[in-house]
Amino acid sequence: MLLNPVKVIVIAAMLLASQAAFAHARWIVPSHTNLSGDEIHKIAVDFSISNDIFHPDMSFGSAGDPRSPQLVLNAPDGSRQAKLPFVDLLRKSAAGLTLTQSGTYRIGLEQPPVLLTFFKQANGERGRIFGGKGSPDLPQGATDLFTTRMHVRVETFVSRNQLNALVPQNQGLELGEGTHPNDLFTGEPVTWQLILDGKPVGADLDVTLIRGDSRYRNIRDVIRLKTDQEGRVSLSFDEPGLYLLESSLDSKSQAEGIDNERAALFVTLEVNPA
Amino acid sequence: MRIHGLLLVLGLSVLVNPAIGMEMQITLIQPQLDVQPYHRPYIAVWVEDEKRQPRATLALWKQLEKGDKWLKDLRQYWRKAGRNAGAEIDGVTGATRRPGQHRLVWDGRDNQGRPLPAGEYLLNIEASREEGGRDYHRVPFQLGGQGQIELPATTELGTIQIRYQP
Repeated sequence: MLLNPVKVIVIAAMLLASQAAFAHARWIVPSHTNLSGDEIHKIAVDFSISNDIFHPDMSFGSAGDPRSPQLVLNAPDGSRQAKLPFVDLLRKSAAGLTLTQSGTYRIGLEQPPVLLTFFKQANGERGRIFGGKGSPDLPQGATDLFTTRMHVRVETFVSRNQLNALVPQNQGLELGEGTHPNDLFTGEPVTWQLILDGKPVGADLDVTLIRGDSRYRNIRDVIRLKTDQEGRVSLSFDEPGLYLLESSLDSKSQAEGIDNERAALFVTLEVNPA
Repeated sequence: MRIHGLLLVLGLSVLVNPAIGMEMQITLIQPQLDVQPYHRPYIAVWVEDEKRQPRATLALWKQLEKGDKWLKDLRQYWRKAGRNAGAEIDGVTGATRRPGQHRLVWDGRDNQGRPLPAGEYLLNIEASREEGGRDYHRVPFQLGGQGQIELPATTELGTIQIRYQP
């Protein structure tokens, strides 16, 4: 059956916000990661939600759809362009971006945190709804309510001529101090500190990296890392390619009516052959 | 007082870390390739210190009319030296070459003409061809020492002979 585009957008938007979508990767892939020369550079970005890494499956819709994220460009000089136009290509969304400054751009998808409430019904069946504990969507007599607030960061980096050190956004889970994401080559030591709301995460946070084109491999080839005491992961890439870094961190919520805060991170990284 | 202090420091640094002249000869072969179309490769030759910091660019052959647009495809050159290079490398920048044997001579100085201190360095040679491949060599050598290195042929570069002496 062919879903009509509106349905696809709604499904994608729901997945974007749903716990189930944590099994799915969200990603934004730039056409270029390093650009040289004086001309004004134009790049394309594709973004989608999928299990096969960088193989588009579910679109993010188009800019301005009620449940679509915002496409945001953070320029090297610290300026920010939000609500950039993007189009719905049914299996993915896409945009063209113009880069005029020298330095590193942060390109991301942003949306407000989403509430999700898990519950148990009188007959023992479990379920979940979007919204908090007061949501009218909760079935009568639901018990064992557990509300999670999700903060999702989906981003990538592109450098034009110079590299800048990343300026942390101090919001949610992100890459902190470490190797520049546009200076990755096989066989070299790479390290990143992961930060949550600007502070290093603790030890033993799971961080995974999966090389793109997982569709053309019979094994998924997941690189599994854990942060050390300082919240750092270290590795050396054996294979060049585009990689998706993923991590998520749950923490007890201080907010009224919310039990858990989940911060998730998806970063697309290009690794060059040495 | 200040000036004397500075002179003393300079004097000491010369004593501790004497700059030693050198002569390095690099003979590289740009092979004739039976491909259509043949685009002449971009080639860069540069020297990094032990910490992989760029210290001197010996040659950069590129399509001059294209500016720096495709320099990023010399991926190692671009990341290490190219992106921060300025007018100081004008003297070693030239057009792409025809296939054949090319000879480079280096006197152990950086692009400002200052002799590099003796020690361990890395010689880098990278070639990248439009619609073709990319090859990259990185080989250690001792500035102030003497040696001979032969790098085996790759697709984009033929055998490379390197000879250096004080």
